[in-house]
Amino acid sequence: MRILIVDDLEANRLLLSHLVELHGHVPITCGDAEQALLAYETHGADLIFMDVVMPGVDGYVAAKQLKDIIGDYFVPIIFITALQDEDALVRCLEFGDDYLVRPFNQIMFNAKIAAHIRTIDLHRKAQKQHEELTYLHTRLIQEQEMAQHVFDHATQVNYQNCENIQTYISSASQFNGDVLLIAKSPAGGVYVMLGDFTGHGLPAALGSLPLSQLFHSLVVKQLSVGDLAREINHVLVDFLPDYMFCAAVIAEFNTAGNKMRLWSGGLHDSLILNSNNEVQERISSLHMPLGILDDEIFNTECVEFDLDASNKIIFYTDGILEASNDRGEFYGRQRFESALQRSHCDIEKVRKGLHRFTGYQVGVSTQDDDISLVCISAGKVTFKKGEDKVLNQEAYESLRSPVPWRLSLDLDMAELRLGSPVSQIVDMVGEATGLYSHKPILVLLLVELFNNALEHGLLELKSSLKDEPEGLISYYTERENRLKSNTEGHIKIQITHQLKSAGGELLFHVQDSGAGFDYEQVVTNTLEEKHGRGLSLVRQLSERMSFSNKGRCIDVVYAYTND
Amino acid sequence: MSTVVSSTQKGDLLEIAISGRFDFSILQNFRNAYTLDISQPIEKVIIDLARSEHMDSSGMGLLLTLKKELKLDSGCVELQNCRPHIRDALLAARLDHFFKVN
Repeated sequence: MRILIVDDLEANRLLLSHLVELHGHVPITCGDAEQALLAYETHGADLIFMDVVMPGVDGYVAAKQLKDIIGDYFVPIIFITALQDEDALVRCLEFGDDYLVRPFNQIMFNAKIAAHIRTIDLHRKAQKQHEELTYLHTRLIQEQEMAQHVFDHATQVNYQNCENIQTYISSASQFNGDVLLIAKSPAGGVYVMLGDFTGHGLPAALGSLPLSQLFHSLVVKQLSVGDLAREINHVLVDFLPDYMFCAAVIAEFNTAGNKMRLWSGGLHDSLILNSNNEVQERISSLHMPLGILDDEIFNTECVEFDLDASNKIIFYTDGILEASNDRGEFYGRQRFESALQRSHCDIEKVRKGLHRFTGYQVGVSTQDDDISLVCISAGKVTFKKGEDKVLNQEAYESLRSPVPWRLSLDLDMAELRLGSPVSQIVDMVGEATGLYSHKPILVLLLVELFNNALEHGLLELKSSLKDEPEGLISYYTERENRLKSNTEGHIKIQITHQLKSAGGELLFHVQDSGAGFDYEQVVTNTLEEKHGRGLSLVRQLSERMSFSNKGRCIDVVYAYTND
Repeated sequence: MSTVVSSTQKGDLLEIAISGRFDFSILQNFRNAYTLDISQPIEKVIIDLARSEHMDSSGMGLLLTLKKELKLDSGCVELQNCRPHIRDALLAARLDHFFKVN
C-alpha cells in the first residue's frame, strides 16, 4: 500500500517512513499541506498519516482539503499528535478517521495500520460490488426495455377495432402475464381469447409470445374454439415448463352476434348480463387450463349460447377480484358485479371505481396481479374501418387475385440429366396462381407429359420393351443409359395461364427434339392395354389434348373453376 | 425424400406399404417386396398407400407388373387408403377393373 506521511519535522517523517517500510508498504513523505495535495494527485495514496500542528495550514485544514479531492474513495486519514486535550482529539475524528498520540510505540503503530487496512479492504470490496450491481442493474433495465419492445410488437392486437368490445388491461409489472387476443374471423364474426398465465411479470408474459402468433394464424383457418384450444394446448405443453400453464377462455361470436361458442379452462366464471346489466348466467369452466394435458386426453367440448342483442358478456382474470386496498380487503365478486350494473357496463367507470377502492392512483397500494376485463356487447359484430393494421385474410386474397402469365423452359441434355423439373415447375405454378388444391393433378399431368417427351420422344424408348420378361427393369436401365449417353436433344415446356370468367385455364405445350411418333395409334389405345397409359391418363384428366409436328408437340388444356 | 417400401407376409396374404412417391424410381424395391423372402405362394396382396402422396403412370405400370408376375386375378390386389387425387387418377386410368380401390 501507498502511505502518505505529512509532517513538518524531518525527524518525524524519517521515523514514520522507516516504520511503514518495515511493514512492507511504500511511504510518500511531504512537509506541508500544499505538497501533500500535490503528492496525492500525482501518486495517490491508500492511507494518510497527518501531523496536526504545522506552520501555515494546519493538519485539520489539510485533511479537509485532501478529503475534498479524494471524493468518494475511502482513504483513511490518521492524525499523529502530541496534543492530549479532549477537544483536539474530537477534532481529529471530525476531520480524519483516527488518531495516534505521540509518543507511541511500534506495536501500537502496527496495530493501527493493520486495523485500517482491514477497513480499506472491506470498503473496496463493497465498492466493487456496488459497481457490479450498478452495471447489472443498468443492463437489466436495457434488456427489459428491449423485451418490452418485442412484446409490445409481437402481441399487439387491435382491441379498438371491434366496436362490440371494451377492455381494461393493467399489468402488475412491466410485463403482462394476462393475454387478450381479439381477431376478426374470416366468416365475419369475432374470436376473443383471454388467458392468464401462472404468475406474473416476465416469466408469465413469455408464454404470450407463441400464444399470440399461434392464435392469429389459427383464426384465419376458421377453426372451432375447441380445435383452437387443442392446438394452443399442444404448443403450450411443449413450450411451457411443467409448473406453468394458462387458464383461458376462448369464444367465437357469429356475424350476427347472437351465438357464442365458448371453451373455458381453469378461469373462474364468465358472465352473461341481461338488459339491466344483472348476471343472467354464470358460465363455469369445463376444463383444466391450457398447457397441462396431453393431446390424446385433451377435451375440446364447448358450450354454445344463444344471445339477445341486449346481452353483454364479461370475461375477466382474477386480478380484479383479488385487488385489495390498504386495509387488506379484497375488491371481490360482489363489488365487481354491482359496479358492472351501476355503470351499465361502462368499463372505464368500472376501472375508476376499482381505483377509488384500491387507491392505486394515489399510490396507497400497489397492484399485486395483472388485471384484465373484457366486455363484449352481443348483436351484430362491427369493425371500425381503416384501422386494420394487420393485413387480414380478405386483403391478402384480393392482393393475390390471379393474373395471366406464361412460363417457358428449354432443357438440354445436360439439364435433363439433373432429374425431373416437374415438382419445381408445379411449385411455381401453384405459387403464381394460388392453385394449391390442384397441385397433385398438375404434378401428375406434367410428370406424364415430361416422361413421354423424354422417354418416347428424346430417348426413343419403345414401350414394347416392357413386354419381355424383366421388361420393366430393362426398360428403365435402358432409359438411364440413353440419358447418360445421348448428347443431342432438348425438351421445351411452355405453360400459359389464361383467365376465364369463373376460373382459368392452364395450357401446357411440351415439345421434344426427337423423331416423332405415330400418335394416332397411341391415342386410340384403350387404357387396359399395356402401353400409352400415361397419355391416356393425361387425356382423362385434362380438358383437351392434341398433337402436332408428327407427335413431337403435345398441347394440353387444364381448366379450373374458382371455388 | 426417398420412398420406403415395406412388406409383411401373413400366410398367402402379402401386405406392402408405400411411403413416398410411387413411380418407376422404386421399381427395384417394389419388386423385391413380392419376390424376395416369399415363404409360400401369394394369393392376395394389399397395398397401403396412406403415406404415398404421388402416383403416376409408371407407378401404375408397377402395379400391373405385380399382378402379372404373381399371376393374380383381378380383385386379388387391393389398394388401401388412397389419397383422393391418387384415387381419381386410378379411376381415370380405369385401373379399378384390375384392382380393388378402397
